[in-house]
Amino acid sequence: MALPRWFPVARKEATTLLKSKGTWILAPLLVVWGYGPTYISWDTLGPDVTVGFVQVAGSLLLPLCVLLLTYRSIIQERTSGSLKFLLGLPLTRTEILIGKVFGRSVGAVVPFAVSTVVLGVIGGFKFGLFSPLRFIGVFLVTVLYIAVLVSVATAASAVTTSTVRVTAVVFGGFFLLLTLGWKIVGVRLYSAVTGNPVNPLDPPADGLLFAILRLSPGRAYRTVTNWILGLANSGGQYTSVATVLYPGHSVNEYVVDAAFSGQPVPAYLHESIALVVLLLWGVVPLALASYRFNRGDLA
Amino acid sequence: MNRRQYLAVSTAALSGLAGCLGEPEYTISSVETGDDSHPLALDVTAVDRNIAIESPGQLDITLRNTGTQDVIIKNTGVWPLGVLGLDSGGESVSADILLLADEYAEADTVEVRPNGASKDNAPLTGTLAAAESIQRQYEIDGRRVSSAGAYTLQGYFDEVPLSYRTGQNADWVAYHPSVTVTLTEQSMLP
Repeated sequence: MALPRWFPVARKEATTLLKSKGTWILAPLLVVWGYGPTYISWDTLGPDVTVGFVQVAGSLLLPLCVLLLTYRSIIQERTSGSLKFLLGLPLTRTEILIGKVFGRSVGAVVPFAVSTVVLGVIGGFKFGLFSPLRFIGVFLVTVLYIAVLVSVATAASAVTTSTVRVTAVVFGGFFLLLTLGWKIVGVRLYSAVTGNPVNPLDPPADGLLFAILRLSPGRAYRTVTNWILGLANSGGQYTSVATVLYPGHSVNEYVVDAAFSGQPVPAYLHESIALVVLLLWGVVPLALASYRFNRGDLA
Repeated sequence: MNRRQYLAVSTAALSGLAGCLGEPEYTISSVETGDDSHPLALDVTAVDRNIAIESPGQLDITLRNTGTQDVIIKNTGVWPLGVLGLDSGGESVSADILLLADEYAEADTVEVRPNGASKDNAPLTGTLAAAESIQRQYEIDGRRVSSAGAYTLQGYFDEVPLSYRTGQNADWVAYHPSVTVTLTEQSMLP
């Protein structure tokens, strides 16, 4: 089977990223960031707490670093003028975007995979044998999340004309609002739409609130990984979700099982829908960027 | 950045971040038992000094009758040692750390909850014969430890875990154990 035409672009992007020491600094940082066992999460998950480490590694530091490694992928070539040489290759502009996304995704996945293996070894040694299926499942969803992040950053890089703008869009808009602060933004959005105030320690059993919350790619990612962990239906970090479910404890995290206790849960709040949301984040921005990039001026 | 700088940055980052996440684990670094003049004595041995997330620390507590007469022991919760705790000397009503025992689950007089406990105040009475001893195992769950330091063994709800007397007509005497358990926080780095 012949390799796709964009493969040389992808290989160059992956090689460039993997030759950068900055990429490899990510691996030990993710190990330290991800390893954070708590007594309650151990009581709730047992040895599978190790699987939770992978989710934590993929939750805050990984998105930030992946966006940092990716957001200039097109704009750098545009401002330096090398994009014109790239377009001289027998490739469509869409193929260039696909090659960039694929190559940079591979370049970011490799150090993450190394840190996942180290976390698995450390966790397995300390907490015993965990479920390999859950471990691999959370790893694969995190790989998808990395591809989504690369896709969004590449899309932003392709449709903006200056580094300042792409920085503002990727870090000010996507990372700060949609990844880091979506719990606050989403709840305020819900309150503005419905007029209902939300007590974060006792959220209402309203499907709209939870649907808004999981529109964020980060919370959609955690919803799917919490599902794989067998923990609960929530976009919160597994340690917070375990604390909400633990008797006698409360924390301001939004967990469907706790809010809807005993009441029927709307079908659109099923965890599989969060996987669809994640996939849409990977496809829609890139498709829109591709449409604009194909018609845009490269100057 | 050369390889040496990379290693230095990585090590510094690891050292700086290590321990920031995750909850602290502790070690039972010492158990000191004081002399007392009661006919009762407590021997406390740290069977498992490691208070880790995946396993609690364990203390074997032996109550000995060192006298020549039988001792009648009265307490509440479970006989003979009751619901024990470790106290740092603060002003809280109950002790700082609840010690857990399998007997609590078997008895219907003690209810342990994730963030506390309650007990039936009905008195339990039994006799410890001269020169005899009773051993019970208690666990220290790291989730219930808020800080490292020196703690005094006492009743969890009341400072006095038990009372005793040496004859049916004698007065009850409050028993104050003299045991200090020191917990130190484990380092995340080797």
